[in-house]
Amino acid sequence: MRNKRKFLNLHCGNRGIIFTLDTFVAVIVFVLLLGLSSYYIGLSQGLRDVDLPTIRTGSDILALLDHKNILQTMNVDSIEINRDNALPDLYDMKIKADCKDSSGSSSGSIETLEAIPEDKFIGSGKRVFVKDNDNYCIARFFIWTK
Amino acid sequence: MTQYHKKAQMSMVDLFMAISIFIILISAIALLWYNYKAKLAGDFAYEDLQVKAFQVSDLLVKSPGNPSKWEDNISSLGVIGLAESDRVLSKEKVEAFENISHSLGVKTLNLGEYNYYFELDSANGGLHPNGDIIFIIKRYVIYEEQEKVFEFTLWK
Repeated sequence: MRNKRKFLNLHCGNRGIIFTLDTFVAVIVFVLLLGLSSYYIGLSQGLRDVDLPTIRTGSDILALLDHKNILQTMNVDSIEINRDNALPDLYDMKIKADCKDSSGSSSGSIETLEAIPEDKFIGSGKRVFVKDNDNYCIARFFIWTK
Repeated sequence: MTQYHKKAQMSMVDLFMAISIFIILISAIALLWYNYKAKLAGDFAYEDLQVKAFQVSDLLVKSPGNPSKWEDNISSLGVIGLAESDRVLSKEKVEAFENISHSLGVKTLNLGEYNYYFELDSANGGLHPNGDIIFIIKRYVIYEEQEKVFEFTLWK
């Protein structure tokens, strides 16, 4: 009986390369896993990047305005001028303030004119201050780098 | 017979190729692992320094310390604070902080293995930064009735 052999019409003939094929598949799986894990590590790194210096600067500027009794005037122009004098050139900042009287009713609010950008990190915080014997207010700041 | 002998040699060549690829892959993994480990350790060290710098600077510019008149009697010092009110610094406290030893400052501020240096107007104290990891934070305060920048550096 003549054994029929099937020959692949390859340059190297019908020689097997089982080990190398297996290793190539393993390499492809490994590279895929490594790429995915590197991507997610990079993504989580970005999520942890909270700009603490920016937030602290906003908090400090609001505290200075409170100490100098500028916030208590509830005057937008005065707040903007004094804020710009104290704020470093690197930053821009929006301030909102809402006041309530002892009964809890609103007794005034102000807001500076800046538009909060949508494509940058925005640091924010708030501070409670007393306007007069009958009114307490909450000032909020939003700060970002120019 | 001759064909059977040739097939055995091809299997060996294939095996050697697979082993070579495997060794290269293992070496690449080991190198990547070492690099990632070193980078992550460096990142963690810097972030730890950063968080500590913010916490300490918050304490210094917001708190009068403990006892509140610690500058009158350094031996009673428990916690350092430079503020007479929130973000308004006391000249006497700043001068006292300027004059205490660096080791006492590190111990009182619980800085562990880190060193500090600060500058406020003409006052300064601690050790000049001279390390691999340095973090500088600027706080905006009122000092001697004027708006000043309190610069606090933590380094290792």
